[in-house]
Amino acid sequence: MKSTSPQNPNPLKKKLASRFLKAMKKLSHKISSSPSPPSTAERRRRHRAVRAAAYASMASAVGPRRAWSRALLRKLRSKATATSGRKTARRNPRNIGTRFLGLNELCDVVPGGKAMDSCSLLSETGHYIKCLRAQVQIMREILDSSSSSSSSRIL
Amino acid sequence: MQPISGEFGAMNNLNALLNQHQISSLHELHSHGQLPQMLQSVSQFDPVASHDDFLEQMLSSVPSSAAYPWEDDHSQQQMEEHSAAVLASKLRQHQISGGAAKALMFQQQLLLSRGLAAGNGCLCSPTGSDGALLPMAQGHHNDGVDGNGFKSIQANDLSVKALFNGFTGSLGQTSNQSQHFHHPQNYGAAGTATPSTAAQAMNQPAVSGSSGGGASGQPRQRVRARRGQATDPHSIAERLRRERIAERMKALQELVPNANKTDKASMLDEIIDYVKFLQLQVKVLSMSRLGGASAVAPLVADISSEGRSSNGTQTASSSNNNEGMTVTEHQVAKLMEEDMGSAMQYLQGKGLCLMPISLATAISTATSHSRNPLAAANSLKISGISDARGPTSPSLSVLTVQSATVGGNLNREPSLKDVSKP
Repeated sequence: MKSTSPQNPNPLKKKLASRFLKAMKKLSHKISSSPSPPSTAERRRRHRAVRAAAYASMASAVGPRRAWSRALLRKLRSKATATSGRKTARRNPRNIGTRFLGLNELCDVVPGGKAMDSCSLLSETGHYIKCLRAQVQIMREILDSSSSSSSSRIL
Repeated sequence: MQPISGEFGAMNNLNALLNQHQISSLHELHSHGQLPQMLQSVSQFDPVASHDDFLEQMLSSVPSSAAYPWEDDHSQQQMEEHSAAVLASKLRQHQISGGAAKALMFQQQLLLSRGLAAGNGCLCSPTGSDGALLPMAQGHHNDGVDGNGFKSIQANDLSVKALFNGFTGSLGQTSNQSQHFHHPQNYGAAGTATPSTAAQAMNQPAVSGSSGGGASGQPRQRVRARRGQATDPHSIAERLRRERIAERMKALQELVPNANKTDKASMLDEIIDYVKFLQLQVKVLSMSRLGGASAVAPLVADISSEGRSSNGTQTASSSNNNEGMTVTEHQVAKLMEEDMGSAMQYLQGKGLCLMPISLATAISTATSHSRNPLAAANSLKISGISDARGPTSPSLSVLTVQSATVGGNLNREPSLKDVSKP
């Protein structure tokens, strides 16, 4: 990620990094225009914006190839259009019978898990874990590099 | 299928009990020869006894039997084969007599003994899976170490991290044993549906155990073909599906750091906890990210112009950054003229602090490793803001000159050494 030493030989990580940084840039424009001490509500909104940007960049980097990324993108788009009251009915009651107990909880955690059968749920979980890990690494590296450089506020 | 399913639940309980006790006995007694001896003594027991009596007899014989010589692998395996043969004959007897539950129990014993043989054989030469687990654990351990160095981490996150770090440290021989216990358990559970082909089920873990579990796909297919004659296609589909799930679970097991769990349920719980943990990390990192948002812009410029050698955009963004720096420096200089305390407070409000140059160089060389040798050199050139007693303007001018010349892709270079104060 740094220009001097390439730290991500992984192409997925490169894509994630570039998208996330672009999203952060957009956010930073918004932040720089506001006065420096933000209120707590303002701060909370910003936190959530950063988190949403992280998930959005993750989903868009993966693309529509994976079920969980499709579900995430759908969720984000529906949030953007501010139709949060829309409730899609549970269209797959047949999956619940063939599931272990633990998988029910897993499908709550992984985005789009409810509409998948056990096999694909497990493989989606694997990919999701990989992407989450890469995202966390990227965020950490950004934080380290930014904190070791200019006068940036940590918290 | 019908009469079996009723006893399947009881069988599972017995299974769990047996497994627990055997594993605990393994840990306590540290002698793997206990079980084959126990099995031999089992064959002498009255097979007409009920389930509970059988179990208690088995368990009581565990502490009473003497320690078995551990080095004698071959004779041990011979004994196990012998006991296996005895059990196999008993199993057939029971199948004929219709005592399905006892047959299942004997079968379980057989499978466990087989798995034990496999485990014994494989413990001497650690399998590749164990080796694969270790680098995974180490990789995650490093990750955790970095995370512990992370400054603004929250308390719950720390505890969760400690949890995972503690688990990665406990990867040991138990993982190998328990994996091989896991295999026969699986096969045993799958085989209870068709007791008529239980003999083939017994062959299966032996073959897979001897091949180290790696090439277990082929014997499984052979067994499946045989079973297909006896059972209907629904169960074949069921078995296919179950094996696909088992494959995915194994793949997940390698991803998640705490891979030493035996059964599917706890492995699933582990996976769920890990996903929640990662999501929590994203949340925490996003909370502490905001100050760095403004500093991200130069990084974006870096990445977007990775291939390019022109410094056009970079100098533009770096000059922005440096302007921010110089403003801060002017502020600090002004405050220092009035009062050191207020200067310190101002710096601390920005998340910075004053420190002697020696400490600053030590920190910068420690954090930046081999990335930027110029970082250390640059901080040496920084005349002490820490001295601060002398005239401030020459030091300021030095600093601004430094930051201007550094420019380019060294935007990140600290002209003010900053340390976060949580």
